Amino acid sequence: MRKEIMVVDDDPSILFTVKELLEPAGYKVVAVSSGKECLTEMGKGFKGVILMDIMMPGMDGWETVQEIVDGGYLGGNIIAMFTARDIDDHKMESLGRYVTDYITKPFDPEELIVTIREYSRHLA
Amino acid sequence: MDKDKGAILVVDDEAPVRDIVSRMLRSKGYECAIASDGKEALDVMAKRDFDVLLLDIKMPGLSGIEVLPQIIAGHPDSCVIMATAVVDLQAAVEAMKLGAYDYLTKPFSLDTLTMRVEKALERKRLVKENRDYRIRLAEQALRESEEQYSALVENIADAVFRLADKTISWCNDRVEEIYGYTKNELIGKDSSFLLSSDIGTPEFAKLVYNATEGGHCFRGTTKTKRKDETLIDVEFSVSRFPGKDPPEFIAVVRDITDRRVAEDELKKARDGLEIRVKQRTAELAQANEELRLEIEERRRAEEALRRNAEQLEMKNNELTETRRELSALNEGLERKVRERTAEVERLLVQKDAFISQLGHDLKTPLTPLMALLPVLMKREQDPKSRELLSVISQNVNYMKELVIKTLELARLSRSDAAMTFDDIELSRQVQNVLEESKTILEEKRIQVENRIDEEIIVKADSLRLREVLNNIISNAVKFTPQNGTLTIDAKHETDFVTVSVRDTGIGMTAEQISHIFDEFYKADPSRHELASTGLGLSICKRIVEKHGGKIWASSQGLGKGSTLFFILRSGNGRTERDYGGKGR
Repeated sequence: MRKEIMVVDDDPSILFTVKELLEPAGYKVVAVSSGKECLTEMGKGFKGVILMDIMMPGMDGWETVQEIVDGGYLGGNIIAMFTARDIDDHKMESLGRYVTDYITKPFDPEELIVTIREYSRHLA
Repeated sequence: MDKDKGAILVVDDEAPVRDIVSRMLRSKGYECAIASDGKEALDVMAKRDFDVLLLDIKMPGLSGIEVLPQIIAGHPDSCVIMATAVVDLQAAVEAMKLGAYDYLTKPFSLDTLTMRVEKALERKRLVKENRDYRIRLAEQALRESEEQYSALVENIADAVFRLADKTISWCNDRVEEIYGYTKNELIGKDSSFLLSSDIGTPEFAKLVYNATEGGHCFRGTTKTKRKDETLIDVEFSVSRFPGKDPPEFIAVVRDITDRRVAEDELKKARDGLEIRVKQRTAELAQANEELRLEIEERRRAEEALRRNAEQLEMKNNELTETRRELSALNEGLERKVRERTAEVERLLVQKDAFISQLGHDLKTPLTPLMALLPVLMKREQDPKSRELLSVISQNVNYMKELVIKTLELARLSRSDAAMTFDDIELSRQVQNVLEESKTILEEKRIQVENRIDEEIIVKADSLRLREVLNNIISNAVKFTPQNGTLTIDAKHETDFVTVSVRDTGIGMTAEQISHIFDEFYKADPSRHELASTGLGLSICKRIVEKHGGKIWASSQGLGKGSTLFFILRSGNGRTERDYGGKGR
């Protein structure tokens, strides 16, 4: 059971909230505020559950996913898209197969923990 | 004695001669009388006629030659034979000149006498026969003439009078008819009355007298009186008989009353006709005048009409102008409306985009609030702080609810909002929703009756239908007090299903009913219940309409409960069962 979580979001509150919720549950949370930082972490060999915000300035979530796939970092990871909006059908069609789940903001803290636990078990 | 042989008077002064001669004549069968002189002969002849007279010329007293003229004058038919002596032949010749027929010379023999008498008788007979014949002819002519005359006079229609001077001497039968007098009453009377008083005067008689002189006929017409005093119209003609003194007249009178009457009637008729012609002429004149007035009136009316038409034409032109202006205005307006509509549509899209943007933007800050508040509440030990955190948490949840519903509404407004239609068992779906609301229903002790026939299938998007039922039921529960009743029913009609949700809640006014489907509408704005967003029924309306259905509400009024209805298309379940399928 891998307990590494990376949360990618330009909103520091979200990064803080995820850390607050998951670290007490025993998870190691890597919080980054852009796709570029995410890719840097991937380059350093991050493996685990990636919570990816879609709407971000600069490189958005879907572009980051594309880069992860293109960089060959997808293996050994589970990607869940964080979204406050309806999913863009077009993007989901082309990249949906690399994504395991969609978590809608605002999320229920209990549900988030349960979901993350489930994915971590998968990765073990 | 044979009377037919003839009667002979012997006149002679010598008795022996008278005796011998008379004896001789009687012996021959003649009737014979004697006279002794001329005077006696006249006396005898005065008593009777004799055929032959044997008259002695010489006689004492009145001689034969002396009496002869008287005898011939008084008895022209008698044939006189003079008896004379030879010496008196001169006298005999004279007697012959006076009219004697023959003479005998005395003495004469019986044969001579007989022969001479016979000869005289023969002559007389011839003369008589001749005269009788002539008389007969004359009588016959007269008779014929009289017959003709009588026939004429009695057959004509006119009254005919013969007047001896002024006295009526004769008249025809017609007089009785015309005058009413009998013939006997008229004959011998003065004729003046026959032609009435005004012309029956002496002056008139004189006029007639003068007028008819020289054989002229006097004609005229007048009025006269009948015996019964009635007046008649007559036409008369008076002529004078020639050579009569005192004068005699023939008067012919014709009753022309009928003709007069006819003429009068004709005249009256003519007069009447004339009056009628005059009346008719007057009527025609009046009609003409009326017609003229009517034509005048018509003309004025036409004039007025024409003026009206002109005014109308002007008005029409003005109207056309106005219409053109209006049309231009209208076009402008329409353009503006189109522009405004496009603008509004653009703004609506913008609004939806804005709501969507806002909603999503609100979601992000809500995330840490919702995620961290429970963590904080778990950690907090101070009861007062926990209470404050609880209020904050409730408001955060309400905010999240508002955001979600607003986004939902915005999504449903989009034409491309996806719907997935399936056959859904309505009763079971309702039951599921009721299960979810179980807690609140039990809290308020609300009795729920789901009367929906389990066979009823609707064609709907399962999640959306659930949302509709959820909204409606939670709405009903919200406004239903403790111990109330909620009744859910559905009626299947060929292609549609009408669902009803009835509560025993506070009810609604007509004004409220007309607004409950408006966005952000709250029936009672004074209530700030955290559980109500005011969007639930708006969302229901959008969803039902997306299903091609309809939603509406009814209420008997405040305090009398409300019922919400919505219509959905029915599913195939019924059809399957109808074809022997088992249904669900």
